[in-house]
Amino acid sequence: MNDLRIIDMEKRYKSAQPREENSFMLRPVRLAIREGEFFSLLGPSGCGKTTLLKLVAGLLEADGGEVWVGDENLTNVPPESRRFAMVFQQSLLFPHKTIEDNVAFGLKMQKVGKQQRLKAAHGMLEHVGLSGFGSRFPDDLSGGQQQRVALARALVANPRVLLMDEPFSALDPGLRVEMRELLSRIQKEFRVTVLFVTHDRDEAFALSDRIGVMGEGKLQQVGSARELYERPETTTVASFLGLRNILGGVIENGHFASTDQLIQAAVNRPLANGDYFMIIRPEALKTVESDQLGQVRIKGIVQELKYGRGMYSLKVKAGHQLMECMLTISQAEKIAVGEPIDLFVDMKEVWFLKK
Amino acid sequence: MKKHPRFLSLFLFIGVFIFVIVPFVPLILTSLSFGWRWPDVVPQAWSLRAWEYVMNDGRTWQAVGISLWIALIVTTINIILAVPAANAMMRYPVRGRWLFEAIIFAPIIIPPFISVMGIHLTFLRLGLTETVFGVVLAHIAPTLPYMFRAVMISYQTLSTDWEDQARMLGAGAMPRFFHVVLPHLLPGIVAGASLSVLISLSQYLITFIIGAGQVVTLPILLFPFISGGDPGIASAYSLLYAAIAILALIVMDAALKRYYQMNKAAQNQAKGVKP
Amino acid sequence: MKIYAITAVSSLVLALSACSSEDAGNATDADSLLTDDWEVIQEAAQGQEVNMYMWGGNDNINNYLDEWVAPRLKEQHGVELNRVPMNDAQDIINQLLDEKTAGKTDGSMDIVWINGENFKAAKDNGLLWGDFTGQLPNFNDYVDAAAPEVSEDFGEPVEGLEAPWGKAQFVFVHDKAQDETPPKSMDELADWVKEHPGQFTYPAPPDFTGSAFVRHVLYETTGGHEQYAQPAAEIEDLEQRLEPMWQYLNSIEPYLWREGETYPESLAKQDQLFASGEIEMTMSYDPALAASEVLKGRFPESTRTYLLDGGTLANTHFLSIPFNASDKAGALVAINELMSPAAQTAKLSPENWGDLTALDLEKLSPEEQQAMNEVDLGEATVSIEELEQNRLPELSSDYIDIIEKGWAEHVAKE
Repeated sequence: MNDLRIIDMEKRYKSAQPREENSFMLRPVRLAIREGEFFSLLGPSGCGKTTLLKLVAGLLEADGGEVWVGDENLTNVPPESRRFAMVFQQSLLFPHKTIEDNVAFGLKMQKVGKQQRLKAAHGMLEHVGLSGFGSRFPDDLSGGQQQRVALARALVANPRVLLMDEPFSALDPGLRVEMRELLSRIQKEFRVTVLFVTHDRDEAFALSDRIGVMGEGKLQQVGSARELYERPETTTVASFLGLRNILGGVIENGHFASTDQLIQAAVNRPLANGDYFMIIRPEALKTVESDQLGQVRIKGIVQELKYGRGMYSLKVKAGHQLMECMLTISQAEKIAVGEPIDLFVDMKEVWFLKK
Repeated sequence: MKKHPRFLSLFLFIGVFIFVIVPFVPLILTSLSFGWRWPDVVPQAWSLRAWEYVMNDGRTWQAVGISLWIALIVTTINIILAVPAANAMMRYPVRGRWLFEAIIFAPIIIPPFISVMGIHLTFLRLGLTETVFGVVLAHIAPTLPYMFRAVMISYQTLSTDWEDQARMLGAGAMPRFFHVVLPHLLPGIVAGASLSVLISLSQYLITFIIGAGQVVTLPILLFPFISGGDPGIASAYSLLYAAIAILALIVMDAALKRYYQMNKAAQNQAKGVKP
Repeated sequence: MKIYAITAVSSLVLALSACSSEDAGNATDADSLLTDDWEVIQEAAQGQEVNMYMWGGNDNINNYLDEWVAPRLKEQHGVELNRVPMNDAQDIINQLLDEKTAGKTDGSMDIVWINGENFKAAKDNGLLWGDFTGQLPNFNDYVDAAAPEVSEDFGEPVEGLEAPWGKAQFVFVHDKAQDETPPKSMDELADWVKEHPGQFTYPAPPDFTGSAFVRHVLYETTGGHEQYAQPAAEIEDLEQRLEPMWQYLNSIEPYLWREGETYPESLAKQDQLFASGEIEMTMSYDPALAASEVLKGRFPESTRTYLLDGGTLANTHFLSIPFNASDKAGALVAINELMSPAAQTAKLSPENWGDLTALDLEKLSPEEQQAMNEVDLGEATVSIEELEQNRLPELSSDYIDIIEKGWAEHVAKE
């Protein structure tokens, strides 16, 4: 199996002392990506995800660690010989070459004959929906089309790994969704291993088999979208995934009490005594009491009510805490800003994180 | 967006006319006049004396050939020196980079006279005086800075992403240079080459001292007539000089356009859609 | 990096040039040419290419050498003459100085055209080959070697280091149509200038011609040239003696072109002013220049030249051979040919050049004399006889230095 394995790769700031604690641009990362897997690195800007990508590509020199594909150690192989491909944020099409020459460039570098490589290029352009554009120049194409050409160019030489560095972030939102679908389709069709860097949670969720969340120069957690969202391992991961209802507190004998005394409830899982964070997904907060057991009531005042894509998002001030939840339109009709409100927490849906 | 408003192009035309065409008029009139004296606005009598002298003198055409030949070699050497130098300056954190830049740009600020006096003795000892090659070497000093500057500016606008991209597509150092870097630098190189050719063509003092009369370029023929006060022949030579310079620029520009058209031609051949 | 490149390439060139330098060996026994028979010299000159370094700013002179002299030399003596245009004779001296310092023995300059200061500089620095004029048949036959204008060059003994090629004499140039009676002495000039304000000026020294004009003022206002035959350093009250000259120049200054606030920086500029009619007079150290300018249409047809009643300065210009000339035999033959009565007669003709001969007319055969006298110097030129009779000797260069510096101090600044 040609898995991509990243073994303890790290990068330090040039100026820093080697033993210093803060000298890491990227703390050692250990990661295995299966052949044909779509793996995303998700994180805010400056978290080290692009650094990691460039280390894998070989464009940056690692201060330690190794890259393997299958049983081949690529650590000291120059990037042009790794048979990786990369798509950047800008399409970086060579402006003086036609589209087909751009797409065929990788094959030309592999000394494939002209007829053959142009044929492959045309085939690839068809896959990205641009057949007939081959003889144009990059300037004649729209941004979305250019990025599709970049994708075709990256794939045409049948790379072992496709690296993508926020390839759609410069595009319009609508186009971005379209490109996601195209990429998803093509990735499945070619069974290519993809390492995809993004700061867009929805994009990562929509595309990825697995996601690695990065923060503060470190790989924080790896898992499927659902695992990460429902069972984040750190508050950093939780808050980056949009989980903002985080309450600090203590569990004692199966009973959680938040530090600000907002919530006191029984824990329905066997957890050792200690300091914990309780994380409440917005979906787990309701405004109406259901007849289910294990609901806990929180009193608060409506701070903000905003409409977005068929749902309302509600912010409620409860104690010192600002709680977020989602409401249907009919639920939201009964609510006005500044009025008191009761929120109900489904204790089965909450997640506890040990401090 | 690419179309200029009409008044702008008219304005440009008038500007070109005043600053480029008009100065030639008195030169042309002087070179063809016979006894053009104040207060006549245009000459009252005409003569081909100046042109006959310039055109019939075998040295003139020899000088044109040597001037262009020197300019060509100088410019070629400049390209070969400037591109790697600019690459090193822009891409690697060289220690004392300002010193390198200062050395390369010094000939723009320091009058060439000073350095030429200095190298004349050295060149004499090395047997480089009175040779085209020696003159070529001497011309490099005042021309290289312009070439270097032009190439460096081109480098500044070339993000390393392009090379990284080519690298990721399997391109080694040489293909990267020829497929990515060179096409991007080309307009800068042509701009630098134009300056290099013009400056080389216009060198009098350096050519005179190093060439020592054995390397006769156009300015060597022209200067004695300017200082000797024969405006007719001086004008004729100046016009010839200007024509050669303009011709050289046009040829270079055409070469660049041709390079781009070769790519466009491939497009037209394949599709015939867009011009 | 550039320096490395230059050293690398130059060492290559050095290696290459080492192969070709062996044929320069015959320059070492060239000194025997100073004593050899003329036939031997002619033999040695066969097939040599002689580079003649000279000012190249006059199409007539250039054409005279390229089209009259060169073909004859080639045909009759098998010597190739290659004229090398220079901007200024001073450059020739600088070049030779550097070659001397660098020890260059196979020089390209075979003949140089110099006189005055440049000759003195060349002589003082040992840049000239040797006493060669005695070897030239035409020098021995046609030149009066004892005449002061041949034996001395601006007061500097020639000592056979250079051969006279031609003579120049200072003339004033005016337009007959404007003024029938031009001023013929400095006193008359002072009156004339006051009557014609703004119509006269002279090129600012150290321009060659402007400086010569000032010397005329010196001669006329301080009582003749005889007193300046001794070196300047030996005259103790020189400053006082020069005083009347400065007074004269300052007294005419308000009536000059642009009220004397500026002077033309060169004779070329002054000629331009005359040609365009801005001023009524110009001057020249070449008596035939006005005639040739008329031929070219630059000066009006009515242009005339004239001399001062007290005479005008005259000098001789010379041809010399540098110490490191590669083709000395060829140079000797070429110089001899340039001094032949035929070449000198052709040179006298204004359509060729209009330069006065360096030969002694009395030494020529009657036919040769007649040929020379028949040359039409043009209406603008004073006759050879009149020129000959009104010559004043030049000052030596130590005086010229003092006068040029003094002019800047006493006249230009005030």
